[in-house]
Amino acid sequence: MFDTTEAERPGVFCGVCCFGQICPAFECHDLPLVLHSGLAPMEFIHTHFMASKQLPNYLLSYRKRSALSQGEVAFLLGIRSGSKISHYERFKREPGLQTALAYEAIYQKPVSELFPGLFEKIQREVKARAKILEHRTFSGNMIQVATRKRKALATIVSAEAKSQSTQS
Amino acid sequence: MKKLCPKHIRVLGIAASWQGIGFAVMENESRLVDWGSKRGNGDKNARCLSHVGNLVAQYAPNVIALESTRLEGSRRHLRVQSLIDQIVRMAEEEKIKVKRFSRKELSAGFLSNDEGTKHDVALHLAARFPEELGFRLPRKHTLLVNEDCRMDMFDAVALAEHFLRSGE
Repeated sequence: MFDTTEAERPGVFCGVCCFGQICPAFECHDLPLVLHSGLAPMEFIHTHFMASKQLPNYLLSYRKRSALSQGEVAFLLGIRSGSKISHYERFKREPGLQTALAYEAIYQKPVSELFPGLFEKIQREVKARAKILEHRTFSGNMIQVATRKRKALATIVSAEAKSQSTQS
Repeated sequence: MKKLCPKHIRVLGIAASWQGIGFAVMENESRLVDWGSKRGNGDKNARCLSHVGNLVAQYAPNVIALESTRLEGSRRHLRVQSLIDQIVRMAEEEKIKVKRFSRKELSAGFLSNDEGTKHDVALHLAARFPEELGFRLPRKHTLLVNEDCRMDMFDAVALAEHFLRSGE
């Protein structure tokens, strides 16, 4: 199935995939040595298919799990029609804070799990701003206050993305 | 084992039958995102193809998993074969990879032998995804009653799940 003649180096995927195409270089740069013969199925898929963006939300998935209709969810959210629910579920519209919290109450899942794509995007933006703030000198502040600020900012920057939401 | 990349692989499984289509969208680690069946009246192929187009637009899958109908022993109707060919053409236009599995491959993948029925595979999937599919499992098909349209949905889940499991 694979052509393993090319040297296998960290971060470089070689060989011909099952579709008879040369696999594109993957965008990860911190990859360990990969031996095709020892690849687990999920690893193989990760290395041979272009990854796609995470979905903005999993509202449809959670609604179908609970067997609720759009009208019923609309009623629970205090919204008049189910068409808004359809827009939220099809990523055409983002709900407000009140609706997002109501969703959390309905599906019993934290907002960041219900909206992982949106959360990831916002988290990335916050991290970028925190990095900028980290490089500023807090001249007017006392040393303890500045240290505390830096610690808080470092925590934000190093925070792991929760995007790999749990499959429960 | 170390995860190679946190990004997402999304698979759209489509099972076409005389009634319409069943569909399932799955992400890595077998997360069931969306699932259901669509029955078409009138020009069934056009309606089903339009629905597949909507799913592709909404979920941007990396791979479409379909049933292989060209193999010896396949008894799919010409209309269904034509629909599957149309879906393959659509996937090619959208630059989405297509993977086709035969019924025997699915049975062998989920059951210990390749002689199991569709209902046996559905039972396995209902146990695998109890929250999503457990309460949707149709009764066993008999000679006097048409197959339940929900079985298409189970077939679609089987196609997507088999792709993720096998990594082929």
